[in-house]
Amino acid sequence: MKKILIVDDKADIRLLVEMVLKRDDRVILHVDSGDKAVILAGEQNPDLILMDIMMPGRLDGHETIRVLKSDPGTRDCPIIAMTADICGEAAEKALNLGADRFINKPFLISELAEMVENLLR
Amino acid sequence: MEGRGRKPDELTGRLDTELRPCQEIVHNIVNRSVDAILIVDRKGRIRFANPAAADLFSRAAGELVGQNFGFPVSGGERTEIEVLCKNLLPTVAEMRVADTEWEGERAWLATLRDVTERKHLEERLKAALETSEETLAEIDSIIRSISEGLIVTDGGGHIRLINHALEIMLGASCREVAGLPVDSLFTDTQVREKIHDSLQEGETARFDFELKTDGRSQPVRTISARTSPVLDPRQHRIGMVTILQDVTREREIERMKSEFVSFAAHELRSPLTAIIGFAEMLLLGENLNPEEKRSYAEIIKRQGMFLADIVSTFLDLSLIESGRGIVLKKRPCTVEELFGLLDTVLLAQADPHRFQVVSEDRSVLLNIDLQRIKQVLGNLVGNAVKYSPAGSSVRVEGAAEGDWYRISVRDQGIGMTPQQVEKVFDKFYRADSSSTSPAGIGLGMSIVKSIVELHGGRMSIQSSPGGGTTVSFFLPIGVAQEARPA
Repeated sequence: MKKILIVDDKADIRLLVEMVLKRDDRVILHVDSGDKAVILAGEQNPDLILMDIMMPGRLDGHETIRVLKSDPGTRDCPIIAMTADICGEAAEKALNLGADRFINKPFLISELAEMVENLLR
Repeated sequence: MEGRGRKPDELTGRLDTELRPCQEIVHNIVNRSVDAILIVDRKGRIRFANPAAADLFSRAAGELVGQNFGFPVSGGERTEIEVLCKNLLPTVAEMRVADTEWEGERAWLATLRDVTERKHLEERLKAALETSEETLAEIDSIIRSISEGLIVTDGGGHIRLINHALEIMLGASCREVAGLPVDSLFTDTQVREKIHDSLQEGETARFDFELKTDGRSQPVRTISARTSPVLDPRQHRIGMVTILQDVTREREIERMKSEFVSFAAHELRSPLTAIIGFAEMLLLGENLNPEEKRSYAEIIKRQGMFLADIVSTFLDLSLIESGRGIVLKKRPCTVEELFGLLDTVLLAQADPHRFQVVSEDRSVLLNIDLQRIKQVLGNLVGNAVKYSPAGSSVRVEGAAEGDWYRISVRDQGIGMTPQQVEKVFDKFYRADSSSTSPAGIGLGMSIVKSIVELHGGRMSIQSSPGGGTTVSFFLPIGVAQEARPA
């Protein structure tokens, strides 16, 4: 069973991503903040994390990626950054901080499904 | 005249031969002189006048002789007299007088020179000088009145003058700093270097720097400096002029605008992601049960409405910005009717909060645009939800207070500092501008305020960090009132 952790402050987006990725051989976890993501990733060792970048709270997406990628326990888990800015700065910053891929909102569900498939392979 | 041992005829002949050339010379000098020459006897009568004198007085020389000169004359003096001629244009003549003899009597030899032209030139020069002094004074007062700070330095980088605005900006006085090196005006080393370098280069330059001031709400001001060379008519650089403008507010608005653009992008893309994604799920999903289909369709509808709200916000803003303003469709309605709308407002909130609604004086009549007031309530409740933890309570209460009906939205959220409260109604302002703050495009409150004010009402905010926020708005009671609350 592959574990996927979805991190997004917007419930509708969490539900959408969950519905897109849901399969019998996967466990989907989701949280609404960076802080919770750090705790859950430490406990659950997910195989993939989908990370929204613009989130309220102490840790936004970028900061959460920084924390996860500097922790030996979570640094090897691939991260897909979900960005929504215009000029791509958020994606570039996420990649520099260690994210493995990025996907820009709004995305097609096939695009997301394929990216996840490739990373879990 | 009589000679010794010579015949009179012979003598006369010789005199003629020897004296004639002298006479001619004198005659020539007197007649061709451009200066008027007059002989005036001690009684003041003109005894001789040369052609230039005739010209000066516009009379024939013969006419002048025997006339009273009419001006007081005494030896050795140099005076200016004004001669009125026949053509009535006054002529100014400079007169010099010397003692002489005429036909055995003591007399005055007066020479008069027409100095009218010179006098005119002198007057024009005087007027020009006065004008240039006035112009200088005018330039000086213009420089003093410029609202931007101004420094003029000489070729060696020493201060020649600073204007009043700069004196205030830096707390310096022009008299004290004149002659000092320009960098002595600033304490910060980096600023000193920047100013010094740009003046050394002697080229037009533009740069920003931070200026620490005391006794203001924002002690660090952003100053924009522009330097340009002062050139003399031969295009040689004789100094530099530097204009300093306080752009703190402008930079702040620029920063807020650019953040606004990035948040607006995010705010539009998130609902679009949900709409497109769930529409795709509906189209492609093979094993969806009716319940799932229904919930996806509802998400699409809700997010679509959310997008519509954002678009309306933009439209409202553009109406306000363009000066056309929001047009209210007011009609009399009761507080009861207004509070009846709250259910849909509260239901539209996605996050779980405990809502309490308390309204008094429900039969009070208000003259309002119900949809716009609903928009105000939606915005205030939305903010309360956004800036307070899930599960906390948000209380909406209404009560009549004198001529006004007050509606307050109270949350138990993060609250705001007095500085944040001050900026709440600024366009693009968001209480926490870091990317970690709850999303929002920062236009809501400025539009809310416009709507409330269009109703003749006003707003107030009570807030403290960690102590929650209460935003109230007051609407005039009755159907004909437009007055503002005191």
